[in-house]
Amino acid sequence: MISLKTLKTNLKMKNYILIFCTFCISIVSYSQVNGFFGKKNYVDFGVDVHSPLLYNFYNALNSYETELSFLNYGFHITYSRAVQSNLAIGLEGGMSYFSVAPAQVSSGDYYNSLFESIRISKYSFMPKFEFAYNDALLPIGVSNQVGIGFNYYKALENNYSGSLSNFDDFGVSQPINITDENYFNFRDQETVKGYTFMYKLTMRIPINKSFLYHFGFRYTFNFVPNFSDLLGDLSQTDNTNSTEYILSQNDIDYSIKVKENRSLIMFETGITFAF
Amino acid sequence: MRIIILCFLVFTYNVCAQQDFNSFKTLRSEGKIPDDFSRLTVEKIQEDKGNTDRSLSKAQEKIFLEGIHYGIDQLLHSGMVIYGDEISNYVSDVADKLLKKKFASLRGKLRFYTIKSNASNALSTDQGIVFVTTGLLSQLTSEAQLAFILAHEIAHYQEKHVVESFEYRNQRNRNTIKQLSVYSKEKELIADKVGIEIYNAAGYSKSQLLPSFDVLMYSYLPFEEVTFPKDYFNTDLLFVPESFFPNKKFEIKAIEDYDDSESSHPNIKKRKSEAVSVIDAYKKWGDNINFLGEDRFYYTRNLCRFESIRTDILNANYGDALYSIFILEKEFPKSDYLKRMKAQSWLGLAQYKSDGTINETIDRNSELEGEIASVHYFIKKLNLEATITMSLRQIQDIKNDLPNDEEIYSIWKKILLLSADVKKFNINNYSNLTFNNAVGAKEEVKDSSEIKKELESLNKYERIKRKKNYTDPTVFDSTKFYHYALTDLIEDEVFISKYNHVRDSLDLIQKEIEEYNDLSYYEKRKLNKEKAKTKEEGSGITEFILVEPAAISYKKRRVDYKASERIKSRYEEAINNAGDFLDMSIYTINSKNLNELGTLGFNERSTLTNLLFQFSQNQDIDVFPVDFSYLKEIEKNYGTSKIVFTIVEHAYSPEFSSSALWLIFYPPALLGYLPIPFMNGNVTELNLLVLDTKTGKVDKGISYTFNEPTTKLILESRMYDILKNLKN
Repeated sequence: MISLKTLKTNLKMKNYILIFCTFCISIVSYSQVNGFFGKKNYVDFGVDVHSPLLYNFYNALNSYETELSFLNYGFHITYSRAVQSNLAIGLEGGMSYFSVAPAQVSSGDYYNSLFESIRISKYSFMPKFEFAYNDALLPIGVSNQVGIGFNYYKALENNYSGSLSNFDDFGVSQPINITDENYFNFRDQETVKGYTFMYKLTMRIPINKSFLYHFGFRYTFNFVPNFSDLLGDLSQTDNTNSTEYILSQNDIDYSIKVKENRSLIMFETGITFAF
Repeated sequence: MRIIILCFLVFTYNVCAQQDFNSFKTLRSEGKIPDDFSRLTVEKIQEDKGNTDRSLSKAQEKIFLEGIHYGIDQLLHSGMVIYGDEISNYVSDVADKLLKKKFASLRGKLRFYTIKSNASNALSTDQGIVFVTTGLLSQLTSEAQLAFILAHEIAHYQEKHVVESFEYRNQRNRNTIKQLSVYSKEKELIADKVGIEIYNAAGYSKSQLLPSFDVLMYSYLPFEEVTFPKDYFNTDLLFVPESFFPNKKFEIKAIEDYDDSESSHPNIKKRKSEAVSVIDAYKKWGDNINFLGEDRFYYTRNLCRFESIRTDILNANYGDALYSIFILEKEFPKSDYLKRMKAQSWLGLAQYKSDGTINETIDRNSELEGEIASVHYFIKKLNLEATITMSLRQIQDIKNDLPNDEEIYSIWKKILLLSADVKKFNINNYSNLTFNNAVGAKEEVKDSSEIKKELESLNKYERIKRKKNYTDPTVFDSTKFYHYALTDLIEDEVFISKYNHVRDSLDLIQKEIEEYNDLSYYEKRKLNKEKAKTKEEGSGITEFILVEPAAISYKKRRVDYKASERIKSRYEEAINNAGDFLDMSIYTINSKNLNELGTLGFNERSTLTNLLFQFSQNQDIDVFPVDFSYLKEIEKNYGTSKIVFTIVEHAYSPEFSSSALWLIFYPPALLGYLPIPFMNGNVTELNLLVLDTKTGKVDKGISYTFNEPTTKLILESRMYDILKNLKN
């Protein structure tokens, strides 16, 4: 006698539940208990990877016998505390590695130098705060993290190789080992300092009542100061500051600056421990 | 001898099983729970796969089966459907009589259930279920009419109209309203034709066929068309002037030849005309009108009529309920059920009036038709003070009638609270004389019409002064009839003391609220902290009844039934785990454990679902539960009055900002932007409601929206958060 559609329309109890619940919010106060199963403190252990393909192409083309690396990676650890259901404050420490192609230098009798990419270690420290929209319950779910901190860079000592040509050789390249103190003094190198601004979008999904799996994307902008120096170095053809070594501290600084003074998008994943 | 004993047992069973209308209780399901109710939807779909008898593609079959099974299961579990009760059994017995000869084989394929609804409808499904509403049954005048309606529905089933309509709708260029209407009307006429064949084969009288269409046409009106007397409310203590009732009749507007161009059914004129030609084609007709006896028909119809009052109250149609009570009171003047329903109706009217939403419960002026219009008209004429007085008067009278009735006492407490809360109602304004005594006490009595005339003869300023200082003792204003309606109460010290106590308490609360609002932000914060400290530990909820949690998952803006089932299962487990973790007792009533809980569980679930439905009618009204006595039973069985309803909805739909299109000119930024909408694509909404049947109020209403998937642990952590809050 009637269509099913009409009857169903009359009987959509679930809709009533929705409507009712929605309205009820206006009349009944409620506040969330913070934390994941009441746990407000949590530590993130994460790995971040990114693939700076363009830079690595550049790196490979401008380095001596350097293989094209597709991924750079880093580790970080963060302690956070949820101060509200959708707001947390924390402290992050991280370590990452990347390669830089030292600039070609012309020093003394040498020209047309090519060096193997140098591995750089980066340590970062930053206070950060984490926030989430709607009725978030940190640490679970999607959250936004913002942090400002410091980076410290150092070249890693290794048996790097390179090739040098001198005028006497009429342009014939000669393989060299950069660890040789004639070329660069790794032991006495200065730590390069920089600043970092980070925004991270993370999703945390519980694995059990203490551990969560997290993944997300990390957007960083690193800034290594003394930019004027850097501009000065852009046309670097003569490494006059360094007479003792073929590859100078400035060369390393310059390479780090070129690599780091840009924003990066990184994929990040890891485990969170809540307590 | 054995046969005699058996007959005796059957007879006594029938007598015992019959409802005494004086102590009527709303019907509930009885007997073994049928498979239709206890089996899971996914099982039903699985079983029907490949059995639709049509050339549906796999994808179409999936949509069709999911549509019919989830739709019908939603109806079966809506709290409105009952099985194994006296009405369903009667309908089933009529079907036994109806399906004869070549139609006898259909009987085994069909099941009959009752829907408690005041819409006059019947419905058959592709699964072989036939539903009949109590609203339809309460309108009929014979068993034969029911037989024809059933025959029509069975014809739909036999002719596979449900699946055919689905196929039709899925064909290209065949989905405009007009096209669907034409198609649907053809099917209805076929169902009428086949229905008449079934009806004829059963031996029913043809005299009842055409009146069946009249039933359908006028079924929007109450089940009887009886004049509502203007002195209906008058008693020794109450007198309502006739001016409060309409002095004209409200015309019944329904016509047979209405425009059906966009209807699913042909108009009554066409149906009757087609039916006449089909009837004439049969030479041989039976003469049976009531195979099962007139008494059983009228008894069943009365059951439906009693049910219709409850349904009206459930839907907050208090005007309709009062008219139905008036009709049934004549036959059952001693019915406690009618008295309780009347008290509930008046309480509802007073609550809606004080809320300013009375128009939601009564018909609009343009909708006034027939005799019932008098009741709606009367309610409309009452101002707030009059409505509260009328309610208090009616409920007090019923309380005097049933002094030991727990339900009436609870209603009375609510009306007392309401009357003390409404500022316009002041007991001090009430006379200690009854209306008639007050009229007699005046030397020169003038009625309101005379006052009106006098006022018209004055100028503006005299009129204002006259109105403002109107204390002429010789003038009697009959429009204030309600001031003379509580003579017994204002002299009742117990009542006055209770009324004053409630009023003082409410004033105190109001004062506290005002003082709190005057505080600065920091003062409020300090006060809240102090209150939290002084709050007794463990005073929260430690046990509750969980009514089957609902879950809806959307995919491409449509409900994904399978995903919904999965989420529902996870959600339920999450709630129970969180409850265990917090050492809370949760009693779950759901369709999964219906086999275990049986009909008792099903009935409890229906009662609670109806409670939620009733609450949903108007969230600002402190509703009185229509199934009060059953709720008390549940409270007693489970040892808790806290009922939890909850629903979770989920959709994954990443939203891309249109302005992000510009980023294609700077690909690295586009690369950076893309993860954001994808990661925020999960939208989950969780709603939870705690009702307290003891107070009849919403204890908590919680709503969360979050960008997370619906994994079990996420839901569990959410529930942990919610339950912990409830517990503390």
